[in-house]
Amino acid sequence: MDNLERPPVIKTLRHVRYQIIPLIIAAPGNTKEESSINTDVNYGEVDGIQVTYSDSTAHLNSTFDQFKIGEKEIYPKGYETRNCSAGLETGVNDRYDEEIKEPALGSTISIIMRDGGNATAYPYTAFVYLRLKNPTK
Amino acid sequence: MGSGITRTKRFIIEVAVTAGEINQFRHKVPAEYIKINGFLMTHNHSFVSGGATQVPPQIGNVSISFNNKSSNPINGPVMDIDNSNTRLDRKVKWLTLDETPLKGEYIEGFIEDFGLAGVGDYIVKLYFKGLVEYN
Repeated sequence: MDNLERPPVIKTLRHVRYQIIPLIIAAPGNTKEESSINTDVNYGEVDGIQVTYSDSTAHLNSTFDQFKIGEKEIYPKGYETRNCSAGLETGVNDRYDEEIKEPALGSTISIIMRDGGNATAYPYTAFVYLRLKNPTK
Repeated sequence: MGSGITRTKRFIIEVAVTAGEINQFRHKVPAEYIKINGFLMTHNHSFVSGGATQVPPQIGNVSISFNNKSSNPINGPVMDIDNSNTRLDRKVKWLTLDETPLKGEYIEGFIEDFGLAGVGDYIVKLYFKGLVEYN
């Protein structure tokens, strides 16, 4: 042990973090449920959602059967996932659905995604990205 | 008395469209909505036509009314969000609306299909977004 005084660890909350939720779709028309993930407890709110796919045509006719943050419904049943997606023509910072403002702080994410049956190959992975933020001073 | 704090919520009306016909719909506005401020439309026309990527630029017209037809804000073409629904390019932009739904009233209207492509029935999804009280 040394006797050097160590500077105190100052825990500061970062402003932004992007959290990934992967959903593996096994076969055409399958649903994938994920309800065991919580938002990072260090971030105050979810203020953006984006969906991407490892398959180029998987977004076609794919829908959410459910998308909740906490107990709040974000997207209704039948909401097409491509409405939360954008391609290379859109800047990365602009691809998020930004009309989201839900408390995070460890909220449970509950998602059921239904495949539209149009992917070129199965399985593929759909990724749901949450943009988490803390208010700035 | 409400809290005054609102959040955005969305609901969908699905309309089964028969080719070449005027297809009417009537849907009660969920009671929690105090304002409807956005509209979006998609259809799966290209899928029922065998995955064709070339969908005619306009396959029909849509008309939508609120509050016992006292407000008729939407009269326009039936269009998918990117007019092909096979690409994934631009970010979705909602059409602006400014409707205050009365309790128990309906969203109603019709979709007139032109019967251009000679395909069978397809589904049009009418998306609405609006403000609900946060509780």
